[in-house]
Amino acid sequence: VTEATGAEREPGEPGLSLAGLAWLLAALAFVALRVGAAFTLPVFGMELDHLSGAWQASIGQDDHRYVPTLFQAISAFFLWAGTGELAPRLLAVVVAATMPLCAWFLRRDLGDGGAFLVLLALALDPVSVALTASGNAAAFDLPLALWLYVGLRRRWLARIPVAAAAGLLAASSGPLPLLLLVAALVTARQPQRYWRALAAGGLGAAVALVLASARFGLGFEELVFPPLDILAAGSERRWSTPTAAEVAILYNVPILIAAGLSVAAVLARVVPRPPGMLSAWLAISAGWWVFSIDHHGPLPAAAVALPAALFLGQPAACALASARRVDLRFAAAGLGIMAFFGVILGANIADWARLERPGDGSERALVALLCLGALVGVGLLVWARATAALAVPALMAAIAFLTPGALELATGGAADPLASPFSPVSARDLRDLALESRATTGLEIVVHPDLAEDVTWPFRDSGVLLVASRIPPAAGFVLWPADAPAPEGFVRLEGSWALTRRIRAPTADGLDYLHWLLDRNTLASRPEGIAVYTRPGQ
Amino acid sequence: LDALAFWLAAMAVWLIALPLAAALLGRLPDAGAGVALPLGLIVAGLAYYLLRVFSVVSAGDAGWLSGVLVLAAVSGLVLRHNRRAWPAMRRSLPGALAAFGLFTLLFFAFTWFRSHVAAIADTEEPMDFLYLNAMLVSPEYPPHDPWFAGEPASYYYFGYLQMALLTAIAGVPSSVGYNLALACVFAAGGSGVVSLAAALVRWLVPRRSALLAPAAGFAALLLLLGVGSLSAPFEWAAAHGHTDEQLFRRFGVQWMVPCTPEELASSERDCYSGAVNPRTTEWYPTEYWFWWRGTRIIPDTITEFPFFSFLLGDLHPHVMSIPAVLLALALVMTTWRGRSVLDWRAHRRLPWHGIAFAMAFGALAFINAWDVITLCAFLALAVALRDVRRLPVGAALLAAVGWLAPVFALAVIAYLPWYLTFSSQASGLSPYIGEGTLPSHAFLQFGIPLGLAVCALPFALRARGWIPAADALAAGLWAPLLPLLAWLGLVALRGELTDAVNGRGDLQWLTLLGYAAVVWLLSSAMWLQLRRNRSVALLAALGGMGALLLYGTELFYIGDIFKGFIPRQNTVFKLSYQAWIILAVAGPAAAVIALRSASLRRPAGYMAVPALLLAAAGLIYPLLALPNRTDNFRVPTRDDGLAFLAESQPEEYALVRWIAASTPRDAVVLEATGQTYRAQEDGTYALDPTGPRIDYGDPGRVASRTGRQTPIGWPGHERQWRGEGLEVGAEINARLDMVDRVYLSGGAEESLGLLAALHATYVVVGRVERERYPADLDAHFGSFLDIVFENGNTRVYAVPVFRPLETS
Repeated sequence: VTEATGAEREPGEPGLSLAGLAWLLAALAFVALRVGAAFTLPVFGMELDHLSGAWQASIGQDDHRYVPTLFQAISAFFLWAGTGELAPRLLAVVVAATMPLCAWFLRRDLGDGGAFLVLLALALDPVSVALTASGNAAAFDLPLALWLYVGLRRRWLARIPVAAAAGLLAASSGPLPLLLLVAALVTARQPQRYWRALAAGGLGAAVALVLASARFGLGFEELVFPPLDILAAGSERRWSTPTAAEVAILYNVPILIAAGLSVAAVLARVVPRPPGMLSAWLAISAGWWVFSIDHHGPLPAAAVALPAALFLGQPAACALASARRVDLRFAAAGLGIMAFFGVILGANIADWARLERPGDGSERALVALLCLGALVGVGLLVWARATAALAVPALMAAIAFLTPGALELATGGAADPLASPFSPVSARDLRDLALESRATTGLEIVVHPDLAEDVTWPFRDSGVLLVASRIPPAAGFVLWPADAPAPEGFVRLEGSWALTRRIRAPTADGLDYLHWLLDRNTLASRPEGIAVYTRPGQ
Repeated sequence: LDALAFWLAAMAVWLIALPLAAALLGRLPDAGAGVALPLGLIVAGLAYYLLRVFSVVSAGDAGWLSGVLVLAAVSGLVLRHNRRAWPAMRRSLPGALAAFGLFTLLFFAFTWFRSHVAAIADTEEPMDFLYLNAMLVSPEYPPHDPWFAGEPASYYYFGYLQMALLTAIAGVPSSVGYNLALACVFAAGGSGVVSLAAALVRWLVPRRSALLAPAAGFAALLLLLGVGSLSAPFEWAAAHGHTDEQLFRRFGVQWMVPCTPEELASSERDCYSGAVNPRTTEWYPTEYWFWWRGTRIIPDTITEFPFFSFLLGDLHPHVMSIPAVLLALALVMTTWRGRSVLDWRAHRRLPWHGIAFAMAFGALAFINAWDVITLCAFLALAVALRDVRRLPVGAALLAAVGWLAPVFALAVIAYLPWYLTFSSQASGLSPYIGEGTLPSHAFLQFGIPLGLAVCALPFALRARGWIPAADALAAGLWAPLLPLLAWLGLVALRGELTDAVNGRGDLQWLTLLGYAAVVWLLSSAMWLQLRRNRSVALLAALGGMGALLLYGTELFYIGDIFKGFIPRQNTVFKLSYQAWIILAVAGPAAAVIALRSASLRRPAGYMAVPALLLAAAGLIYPLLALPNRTDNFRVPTRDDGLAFLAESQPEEYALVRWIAASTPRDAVVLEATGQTYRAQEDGTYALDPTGPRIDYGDPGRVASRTGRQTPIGWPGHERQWRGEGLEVGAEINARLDMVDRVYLSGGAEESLGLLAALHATYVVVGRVERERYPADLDAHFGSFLDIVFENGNTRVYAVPVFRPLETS
């Protein structure tokens, strides 16, 4: 990639080099995946929580789910103006669409190839797609953190207005930019030289603190610092069906492995040391992810994937460049053997995964032999000092791993645990039924306290509902837990009703995971069942 | 796995705090690695506390990370910008590895021991568990007091907060975290004391004798965490029927001698009245908790020592403060060793030092208020004497005030939110008028650490000529004399001089004299060595400080709730505990140096031999107590402090788990107060005076195990924490009455009114409630409340919810 810069082109001749085309395609893929996701995904996970909070804030109701980040405040404004989830999502996408530009600015740091690989990783990272194409309170986090990193590397933040704006934005977003700023502060060589910029950043943060505490005009309650509020809420709320550990296993494995290998290469001094700030950022983010492995949410995985992607850029590009220099006369045999055995091995294991059971003894022996054969191929490459040739299949494998996830989300995420729990379209139908019942009978819509939070988003703009643990006499349409005894004097409305649906994480065992990797449609969403009761004769 | 996670969390904090410790304590051979954990916990804990108090962080496990993030930022900045930190860390790598290894070894060893006695059920463990849970679940900070709903905790709870931080970061349940917190404090105390004792010896001996440093460290470890009361050999002898009455009486342990029939008939007996034949069935005493008596030897006092604390397993503030006290001692020691003058200008040169000192010494009050005055006084002494080495006395004192004043001011300001919600029960210093301590009791309890500390005298009092020695002895005389004169003055002012002097028996005066002599000689040694060898002077100062604390408790006490009947109980308890920690640092170092300096020409150093033998005798206590406590390690092991509940009362266990998982953090949950009622013939209920005690045991059990608030938990303890004022007493009585009326009232309207007045939304009806309230509770509550939890005969009722939800 580095060398494909259009050397054959005459000076001044207009045209697009191969590298330029690759950049353009990657950037387009980046944006297209997010636009697709914004239009097709149901309201899910963090977004479901935060849009519910934003909706309640927009109608002047206190709701703990409203964390006053700048994005949440704008979302509340959009919802107040009568839009659905699409406007906040498109705003998130528009801001995220600037991220390829960041990668472009990082070419000086990472080299052309490194920066391109960073862009590729960010474009295809499903967690990044989910976070930057949904209306969650931390939707600005990834682009903002990346811009801050670029700004710090290129010393833009030394300028007072930029520093002030950065302070304001970072203090009014989620926790990801904060982690970077802590790393930057800790590793700054002579922070006293930039005291003016630091003061301006502090002032910007103070303004953000005041704005957030005033909930961006929706009323002052107490001092609020949104990054830490979201950090704390991450352990309390179930923002995704899979845990942070499972999110990383399901979606970020190639990036994390590549980053791990890059760290090893840096420690072995095979590649140049990255900036201390990046190392510290990766370490702090990894610490948060380790702490959060059993929390349900995508943020810790996203927090670690971003610096990991930046970390792997340069070493991965070096590895690919080395692969180009490998003498194929020796490497071809190794690669060929590896590919041959690898493909058969993959086919066998894929078969097991589809059948959801491992093969019998002879099949296992065959797989063991195939493993051995593939290893022989790798051994040949190492023996021929052509280990770098592995970089190419590794890159292809990484792309093959990431792409289905990103595409799945861009086309609706119907079977993706990352987009779970989600609010199904049928919940809105239920709301229409309830409103119709109320209009017909004049009786109240009653919701059990356990369902009060789930009902907020699908039942938005439905007037006043009653939250009650005992059915009041004026009740006409009742949403009740499926396992609770039926209320007296009511009949159950037939049908499978749900306010939210969930998709489990495919991590029961290795084959379950493989099966899902091979066929994303193996997981069906399950309704969080509720019972609906009406008065007889309705 | 839980233990591993907790250990990892502690080690992460330790690792992050290492640069900070190196910058502050670079003079120590291990650059502060031995006390880096308490330093890290103080910084991270204070950051979290302030972020919560100012609502910058909301409740939630991940919120605790913000504290660690602040610690990481501070430590990273120090590493980047302090020129001494990184070289000190590199130089002290072996010391850091030793601290790491020792902490790990002690942590897992204690975890193994504790797994035999994991239940959080005895003595005041429910109270400690309550505070740990309160730190974890409180929806607002300062944290609520789960035993006094609606009010903030009024106690020194920073230790609980630090342990909650590790529990949350490790992601372990609080009932497991409680036991692992004990292990963590044990291990941090061990690595801290080894670090300090080894440093003292390292400063005192030339490089070729450096191996003495780990030897002193090991001895210090044993003295702090292993050695116990010298009453244990008597316990062993008595258990096996060897009770020489005369000998036992001479040592003041006649209560181990079996009672005669006449004594048994008496109501006030001072003899052993339990089963005699056989008194033990094993090689060790099998009498239930015989080791408890080892801390109740001096009448009307508690003389706990660290080994006993860890054996018992109460996660009390004075236990959790051990690592912080050692950190403070490390700061005092390095301050003492420094050369430059410390005045207000020093803060301009090194502002971060002053701030760090303020954080560390301010934390002492917040962890265990008893420690702050002693350690701050010691710091003031260290700063003043450091300046005295360079300046004339008057100028030195002025300079010391200039340095100390901002530090102490900031130490208060940093913890101001706590001070504003803490109501101290201390009612000032009073002269003690009473019997005092018998020499035999003082010997049994404090003979070992004091005996080791006086080993410093042979080399510390060595002077060139009589004149400097006489000068020093004259100067040192003020140390015991001033407190005595103050005591005499105060009792004279009260007009009780005769009573005070006559009230103390001859033998008790002898104890006082003995303590005074030790204080005098060690103070003189310190003064003598101040300008000659500051390390010897420091050693003598540490020993003198320990002895002074014991001496002081014979003359004064700090007034508290026990003032009227056992006035000096807490003073002796808390100050002798401090003395034990300080002497654990100084004593072994003194003994090791004395032995090294001993020769046939100078045989005085051999006094360390009997002192060390005495210390070895102190190891009999753990040898006998450990098998007694653990039934000789035959009991099944557990790591969960509530596992006993799951086995013995599964319904209660399910109740606790449900409430923890399913009720909001700010819920007020009604449970039995502990007052027992009986039904009368006319259908009313009367208080049963024969019922169990209101404090201790079951009352407030749900609050303790979940951190959810209840209107009133242990009333006696609330009085201790909040004072005995009329308002507090009236409020406690009103709450007791209201809760009891909710359970015993016949009418729904009255009960709902009371529930609203108490802000309670949940009512527990379990085994305890059914025992205490002889009414048909299910019929009563079932008529107007919702059942939200049911397991066997245990139920939770909730006030019905009815509220509008605006959606447009």
